[in-house]
Amino acid sequence: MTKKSPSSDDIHSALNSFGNREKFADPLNAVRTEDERSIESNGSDFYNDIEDDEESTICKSTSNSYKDEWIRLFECKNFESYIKREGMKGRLRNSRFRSICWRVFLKCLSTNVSNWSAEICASRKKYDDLLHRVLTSPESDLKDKSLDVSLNNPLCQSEDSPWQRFFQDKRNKQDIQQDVTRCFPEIAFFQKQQVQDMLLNILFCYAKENPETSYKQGMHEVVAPLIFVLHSDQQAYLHSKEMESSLIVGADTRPLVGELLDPDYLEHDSYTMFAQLMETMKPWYQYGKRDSRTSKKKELHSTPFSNKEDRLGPATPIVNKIQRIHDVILQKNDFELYTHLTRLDIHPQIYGIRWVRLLFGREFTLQDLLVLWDAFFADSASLDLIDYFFVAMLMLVRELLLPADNNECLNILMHFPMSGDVHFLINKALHLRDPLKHSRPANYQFQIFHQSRTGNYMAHTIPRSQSKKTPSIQPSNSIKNRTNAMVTSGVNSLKRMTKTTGVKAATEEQPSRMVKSSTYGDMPHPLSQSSDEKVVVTNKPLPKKNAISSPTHSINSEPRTSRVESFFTKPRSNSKKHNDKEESEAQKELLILRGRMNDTQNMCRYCATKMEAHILQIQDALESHRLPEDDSLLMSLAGLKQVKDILSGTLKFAQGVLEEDEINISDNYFSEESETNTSVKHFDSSRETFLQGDDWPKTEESHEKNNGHVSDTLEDDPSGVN
Amino acid sequence: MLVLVLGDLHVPHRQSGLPAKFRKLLVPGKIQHILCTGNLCTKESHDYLKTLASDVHIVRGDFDENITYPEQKVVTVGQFRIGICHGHQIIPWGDVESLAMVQRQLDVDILISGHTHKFEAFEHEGKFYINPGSATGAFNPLDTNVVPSFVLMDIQASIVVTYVYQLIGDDVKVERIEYKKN
Repeated sequence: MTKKSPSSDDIHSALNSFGNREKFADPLNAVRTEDERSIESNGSDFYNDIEDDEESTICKSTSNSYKDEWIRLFECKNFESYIKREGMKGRLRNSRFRSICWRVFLKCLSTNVSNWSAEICASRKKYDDLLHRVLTSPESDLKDKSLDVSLNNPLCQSEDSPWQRFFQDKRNKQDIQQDVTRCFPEIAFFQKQQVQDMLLNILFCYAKENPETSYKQGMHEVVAPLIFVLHSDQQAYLHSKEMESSLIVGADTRPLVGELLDPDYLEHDSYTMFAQLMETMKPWYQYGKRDSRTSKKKELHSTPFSNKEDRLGPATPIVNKIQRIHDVILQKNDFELYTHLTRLDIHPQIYGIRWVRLLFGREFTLQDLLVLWDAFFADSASLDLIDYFFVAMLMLVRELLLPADNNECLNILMHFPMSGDVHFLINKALHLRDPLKHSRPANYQFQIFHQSRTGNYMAHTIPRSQSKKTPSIQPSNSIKNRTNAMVTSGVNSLKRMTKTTGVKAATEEQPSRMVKSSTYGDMPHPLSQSSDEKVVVTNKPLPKKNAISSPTHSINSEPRTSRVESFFTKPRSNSKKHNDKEESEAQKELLILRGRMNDTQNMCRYCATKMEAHILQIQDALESHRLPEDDSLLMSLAGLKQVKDILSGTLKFAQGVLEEDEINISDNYFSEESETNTSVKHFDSSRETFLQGDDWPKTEESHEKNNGHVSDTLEDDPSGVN
Repeated sequence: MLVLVLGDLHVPHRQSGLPAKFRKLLVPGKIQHILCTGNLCTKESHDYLKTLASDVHIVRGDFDENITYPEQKVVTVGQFRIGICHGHQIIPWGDVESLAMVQRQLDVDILISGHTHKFEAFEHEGKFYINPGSATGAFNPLDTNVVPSFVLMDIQASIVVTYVYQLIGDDVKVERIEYKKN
């Protein structure tokens, strides 16, 4: 058991992981468990063994032999559930058998390893046949003289004509080619002609095999990562075959691995995986046929201001799916965000179709994406997790979305801010789906914290929004009349508003552009206000509502709350003038606070960059010195890096951490920081003194605590001697 | 590679336009080149051809308004050199020996000519001769009963498959002729 205590290599790799956050699953966790293990180092029970193994794949997969990994993944009793668990936890990130895992997840390979060889042969043969049929048959058909010339001629427009099919295929190919050439332009692998041809063939074969789905834009970005994964696994196989020719997997499994990862069949295997994946995703790429008759009927009967979705008529499966995610899962888990998005009239399909169709391919870097797909596929071949992941994504940016207006929201959602940690999102999605089974991820506390603060609004908004809904639900004639009145009055007030603001802008020359834009942004409010007033008057729940909303004023005076508040109370207040005043004040306040927040953020970012530079310097120095106890030093460096990441915002700062996880994080956090600081100081000063060569004993005395290691450093340092 | 060959439209002097059935057949996106034997006669006809394919080659007929069209033209498509000439210059009109002379002059594998308003496609001394006839079925001084026709060539390496479209009665009749270069 050489792996018992963490080698410095382990820690090095863990350390490096802080620098590039994309590479590692949960660096914090990795370091921590490593640490724990060094404390309770002895005890060679089985459990510990496995843990160690798992850990090592995270930290240093390269030193783990190819054979070991194979045995670990596929040669245990219930390997399917094991690799699924690995996938869910993101531990396949560095695996060299990811493509095989995926094939098991997607049911391209059965759970019986001994059948794999036969299965893979069958699927490859199937693809060969398909390719042959697809690529050569139309050509031979065209030359077939036995066919009736009146059918088999280039200008024939009958569907049965081979020429017609030929032209159809050609158009399809052109479409595919167009998309394929701009697939992942930032990755050189996909720019190779060979790979692009492969993509084209796979997609074209799929289109021919499934004429009802054919090719739709976006499919290429689903195939591309599959090819990438297969290719890298194949390369890894070739590499290790070269490196450890005799060691590579057991003698009995060697032919199997070689067969599974045969580079000659990259295209075949990619197609098999893609076809299998599309079994689930196919409906998401279908355009529903709009039944014009029913939708027209609906349009005639719909009332103005009713939900737009109702009027859009029968939707495609994908839109239904996204709408369901939005209306059910999001509403249940984050009502505030749901109402906000609904109020801004942002339909989830605007951004969601791309998210789902590409399996979030555009929202993450390829490396993160693969981890994400690990989890999706491992969860189930039907990709159920996507629904919850969708909501987890939304909730991740809720803090950005809530204060934003329509345009900003769309901008955020269409250009999703790279948030780095896929694992957090996956865990959160799991938590959302099954809160009992999966504990909420640590970072999640940050958001819960805010929610508890805003919780009291929620309590008020829920009954209110219900009362708001009730009048429109009642199907009566009077409502129709009323809504008509609402429309005219609303339009009038809107007109008035535009006129006044226009004049104001022209004559008064408002000082700041921000203020101006905010007044423009307010324009719709008179509309909603007047209409709401009317509804309210007829229903007479007004006084009660005011009574409810007024306490919120007194309870909370924080900036965040004032925003939420103004959003909810705005349309309700009685006098328009008063409301406007209040609103503009709130807006101004909001602007100031936002400015302050930006300043703080900038400061944090600056600190982070500075800190990074210094840390790197220290790390380099340490590495060149090879201290005997550099483990602890490096640990503290890791702590510093963590602080840096928090400052730069790449690692989310969990507020709950301070109280709850004292042992794990806050301990490291503070003690390490101070420790590093002192040790670094010693180190620097000692080095300085050595170079000066004078008062060497003096400094040594002054830092008695670090005595040993300082002198060690000096002796070991060749550059210092010279 | 699909090459459309047609000519002698005589729009608007002798015919109002292409037959509707032909118009329906000729859709953009399929044809790569158009070789026209002339006598379109107006710019409008030329523009119509341009909508079918961007690469249009026209030689001058005796009734063309545009006098800048060349008398003869040689176009290379794939392995084939194709010569185009309207044919009113070749006397006697449509005579095989006279056409063979032009073919030797231009040194082409396929010679396309028109003017007779009568479809013809034949091999002579190893070379291929095509007369697409009149696409509109315009009359000519010798014959008032002209069958509208045009030709579509599918050129693959050293083989030309020629499809002949003729409007007989109300039906489009298609014929297929193959020519192999040696």
